[in-house]
Amino acid sequence: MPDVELQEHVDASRGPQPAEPPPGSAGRSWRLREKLREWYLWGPALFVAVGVLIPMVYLVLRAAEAEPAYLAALVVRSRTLELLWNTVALTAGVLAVATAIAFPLAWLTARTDLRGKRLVTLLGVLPLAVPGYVMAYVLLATTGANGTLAQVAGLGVPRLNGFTGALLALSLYTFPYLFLNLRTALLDLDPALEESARALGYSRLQVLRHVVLPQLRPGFLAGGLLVGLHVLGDFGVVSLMRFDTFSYALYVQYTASYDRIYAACLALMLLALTAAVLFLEARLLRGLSLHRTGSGASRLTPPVRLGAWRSVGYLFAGTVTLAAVGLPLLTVGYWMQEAASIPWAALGEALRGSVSASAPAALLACGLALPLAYLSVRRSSPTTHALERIAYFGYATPPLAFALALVFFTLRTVPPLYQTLTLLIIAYALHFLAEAIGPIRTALYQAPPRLEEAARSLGRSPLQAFVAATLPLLRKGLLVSIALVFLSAMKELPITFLLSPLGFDALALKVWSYANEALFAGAAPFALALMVFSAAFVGLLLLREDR
Amino acid sequence: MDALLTVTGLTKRFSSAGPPVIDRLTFAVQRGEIFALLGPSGCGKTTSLRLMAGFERADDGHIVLDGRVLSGPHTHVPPERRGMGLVFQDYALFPHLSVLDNVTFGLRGHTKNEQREKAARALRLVGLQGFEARTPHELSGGQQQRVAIARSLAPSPRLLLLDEPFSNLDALLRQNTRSEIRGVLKQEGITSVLVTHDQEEALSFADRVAVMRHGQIEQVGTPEEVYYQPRTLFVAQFLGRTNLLFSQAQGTEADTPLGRVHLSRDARGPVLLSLRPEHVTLDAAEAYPDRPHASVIAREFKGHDITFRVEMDGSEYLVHTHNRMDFQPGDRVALCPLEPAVVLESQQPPAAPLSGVTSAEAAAS
Amino acid sequence: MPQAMRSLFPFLCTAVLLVLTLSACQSDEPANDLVIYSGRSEVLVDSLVEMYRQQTGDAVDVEVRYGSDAQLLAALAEEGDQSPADVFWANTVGALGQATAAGLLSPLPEDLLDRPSRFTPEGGQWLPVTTRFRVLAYNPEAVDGDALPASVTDLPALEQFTGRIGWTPTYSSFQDFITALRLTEGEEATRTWLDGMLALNPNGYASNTPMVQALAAGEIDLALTNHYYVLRLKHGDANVDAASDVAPEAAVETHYFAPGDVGNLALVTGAGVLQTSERSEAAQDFLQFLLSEEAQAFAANTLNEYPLIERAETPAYLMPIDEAQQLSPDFNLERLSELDATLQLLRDADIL
Repeated sequence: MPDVELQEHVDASRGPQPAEPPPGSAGRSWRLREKLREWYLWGPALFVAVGVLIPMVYLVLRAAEAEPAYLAALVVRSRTLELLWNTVALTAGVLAVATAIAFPLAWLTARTDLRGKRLVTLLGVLPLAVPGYVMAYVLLATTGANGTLAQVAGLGVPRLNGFTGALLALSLYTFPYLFLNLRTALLDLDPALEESARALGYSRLQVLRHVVLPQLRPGFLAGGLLVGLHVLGDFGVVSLMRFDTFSYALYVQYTASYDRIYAACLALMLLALTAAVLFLEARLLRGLSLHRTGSGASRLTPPVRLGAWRSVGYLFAGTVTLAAVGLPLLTVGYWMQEAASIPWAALGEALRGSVSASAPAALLACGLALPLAYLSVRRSSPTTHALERIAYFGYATPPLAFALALVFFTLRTVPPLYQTLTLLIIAYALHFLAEAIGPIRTALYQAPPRLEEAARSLGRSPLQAFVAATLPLLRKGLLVSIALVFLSAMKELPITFLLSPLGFDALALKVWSYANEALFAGAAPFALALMVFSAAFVGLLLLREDR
Repeated sequence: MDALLTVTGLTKRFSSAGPPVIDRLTFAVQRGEIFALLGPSGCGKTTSLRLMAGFERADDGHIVLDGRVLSGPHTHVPPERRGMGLVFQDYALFPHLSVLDNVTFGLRGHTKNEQREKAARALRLVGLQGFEARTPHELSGGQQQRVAIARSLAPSPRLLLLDEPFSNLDALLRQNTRSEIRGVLKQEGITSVLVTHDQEEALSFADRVAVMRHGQIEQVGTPEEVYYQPRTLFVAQFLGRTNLLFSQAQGTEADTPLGRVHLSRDARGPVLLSLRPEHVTLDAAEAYPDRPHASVIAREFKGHDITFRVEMDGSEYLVHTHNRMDFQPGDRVALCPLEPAVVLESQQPPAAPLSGVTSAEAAAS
Repeated sequence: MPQAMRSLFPFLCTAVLLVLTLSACQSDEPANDLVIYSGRSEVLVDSLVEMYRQQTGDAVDVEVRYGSDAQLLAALAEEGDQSPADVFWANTVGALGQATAAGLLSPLPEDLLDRPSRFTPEGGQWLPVTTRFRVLAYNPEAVDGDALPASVTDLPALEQFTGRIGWTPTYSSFQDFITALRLTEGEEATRTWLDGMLALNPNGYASNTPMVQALAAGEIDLALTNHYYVLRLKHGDANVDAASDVAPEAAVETHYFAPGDVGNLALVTGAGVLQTSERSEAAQDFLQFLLSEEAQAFAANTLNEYPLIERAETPAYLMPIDEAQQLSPDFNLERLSELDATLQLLRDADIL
């Protein structure tokens, strides 16, 4: 009985109804007033919407410059189909491989009695600190007849390139997005569900298939979305591995020929693909209840005893760590050996540059993601959902197009902002916003809305109520968001190239610039600093979270 | 006695197409009174509470607290400025704050000393002194509940709203907590509105009860009034098990399947009567040769009383008697009304003669 | 912890705002800087820029934005007349030609243009700085260098190298080479050449360095590239202390086609002064510096490119400039800006 009553209440407070304006004009003006009063929610949301839509408008403007016939000839040809097929195949492949890595790792760290789970968890996140182009260079350098593996260990591994190379490189550093989401989902599962299924005669494996996996779907979709969009937009790995995808073709258009129009068309095609992915994800999410129905925290699930299988668990975790973290570190360390000396001054300046842009960007992204996620969770309506989705378009817009659009619009609207750190920070924050939204949204779903109402009834304004009652419960989500955006901003190249202030130096720029000329010994100190500093930062954040 | 809270014509719809969830709701709560909104789930009682608290905005009607319009066509006072305390079904304690911090949460604007004093007083009222440093998850359900009440009492609200506050407690704890909290509220003279679907809770806790259905109030009255004098079939059934008699009324009396009974008020023609099981007793059939006879189907001994199920003309009736009544299943008995039967208002008379026992469950479904 | 969080959060917000405002103020600096947009890589030319900074001292503040030619061209186009850039320093004639065609560059004074007589464009909008040559690199462990053809046009006949040839279709120098091929041999012949090459299933690389490394690694046997990529792999750069980063024994050799063959095409890097520049004198001074003996010798020693002034010293492993120039066909480099038709051709062949 009480459950039914609760349900009624929940429905009343979050159903689609409040979106309907009440009859009469008084209602409509009230809605507007209400939105104005909640400027701290709608203001940032509007800022994001405008910031993310600017690049799209820009792309449409550029594409519209072309002669329709020319455009048609460019777009309607067999190559477009080939690019589409390659892109889809790579995305699906990376999703599959990343899941194959992330799911067992998540299960091992969330549900078993494996020792050193915290360490394994940390190691499962660290690959995010490895830039994609470094991962690609590393794989290229280690494999093949003259690769490091052949020279050092005598292993004749064929040289990785094309589909396999891109697949492996991308999977190895994007799987943490899935790992983090799946792990959280596994930790949050109500053990009573599994126990009742076992009591109803289901075997362990059947429980996994019929009870656990369906419940992991929201987590899988959230992580998979980030991985998928990342693959769609990546150009570093596909260009080094020579695999023809949309983003590679786009990269080629911008960097090798001077054709911004065809590039704009390709970018729009890429965005259309993104829209399809987002639509698909929304469809798959529909009808999934994301709330736990009971009150309070659920019991902890007793860990599965691995017994003799424990060594297999360690072997798996070890192999993944070795490939995703060890290999890049060892290879870069190996290059480092050949460096005559370490350019401390340049290193320091590049590190300062990277951090001075990435850290504020991470905080800003978090600050923008919070109102967006809040609107979407607590003011659930088609409008707020659309606003939240828009952030994902920012993520999927090719960074180069994103940067060019900001160049174009900044100089035409706020010229003093051009080539300032502020613009760079805003660009990072808008571009990586999607990474920040997920963890905050998950945390918001777990913070009961009732708490804020209690605070309101005790005399706090909506904003005060949020700060006092809900914000403290979002700590973990906020920290993860900050970490994710920070890591991505540290690695980002095209946006940094085009929007950084003059004289600005960043680790990523240095790494790329040396590595591009094959001066790996020169790149090594910067790459190492980038990875180690990012890893240390993330480690620190996650340790805090664990306390 | 004057009204502290008046609600007039309150209307709320969640979609412009569907029927209103709250339909011209009107009632008044007196100063110092504990008022209950009782109804099955979906009847709109929780929405009414949220309207009073200010979490929802009414489409029409007024809410006036102590002469101040909180809600009207052009007014909507936000929750934090309504001066109402609110106790949730799931308590909604802040998990990251200690018991003391929870209780002082609504006491901003007071000095630290005042905060301490008021919190201590509130905690003493609910019997939780000494628990200040604990965090909510270190408390039992009953204790959490008391903290929630202390928290909403601490700022001395003009009105306390309670949303199913006892439904998460187990049966024994529920009864004790209920009477203790009622004692505190009455002692402090705190005007309260309770929302519940549990008729026993409403009847035992409230000074007056409003029975709600489909967003409207069917009947308001003291617990005795609504229980003994239900105005409608719905109220009669929702407040407990009752025997329904389809009868022909002739003024102060009526012919029923149980024979002739006195009526609570004058009526003529076909009417539906309600006769609570405890308002009937049994006697040996031989003692009443002129009344219709029934046979005992089941006898349920419950210690302080006995419930008999009897059957007459294919219908079943319930009779609560004292514990010395020793009829056994199969015995022929006569049913003797102890009180006049209540004439139920009915917009349309039941199509088929409807007689026999029904219960709250039947009404709710 | 919650207490800490409550005090931490406003602090963080303030910190962000502070950084944002502070950095927004940065742009108010006096516009005394010379701003160079360099398509040449930072690693390669940074010391050269540093050299110039030392020379000018405090008089001019030199700031460089690095990127690829195309990125910077795109940025210049989007910036329009609000561009802060003074100098466009590019890797390729194609990019300089595009910049000229888009009206981004202003004509240079005669005395500057006189210095490198060869390769100077007629309009005088940009200044050639260094020269490089297209070559065919091969792996001597797999290929007999003497058996390689005399003309690049005969490459499609080498069926034995199916799947073993590397090229860089997206790289500007390669596209310049195709433009030259198109203009010397004709559209149809170029199309046939491309189709013939495609039939050999070549490996497309995004840039030359990984391709030359792949060549050394035995992944491919032949690679169409620029001369200095081979030299850089084997000899590194003579100046920088990362001298151990060289592999003189690497299995990579250079094959020159017959003298005058388009496969030996000479290409130049260059720089120009932007129309929007308000500091054109300082910009011209920088260009002057690029042609100085010191800068030219640096290019030869560090980048393994050919200097354009005669007095500059060159390292011993570099083929003498006279010889190299004899190998190159006589071709008006300005025509390399006719890139659109080349891109069309590459797209039609489904290479781009």
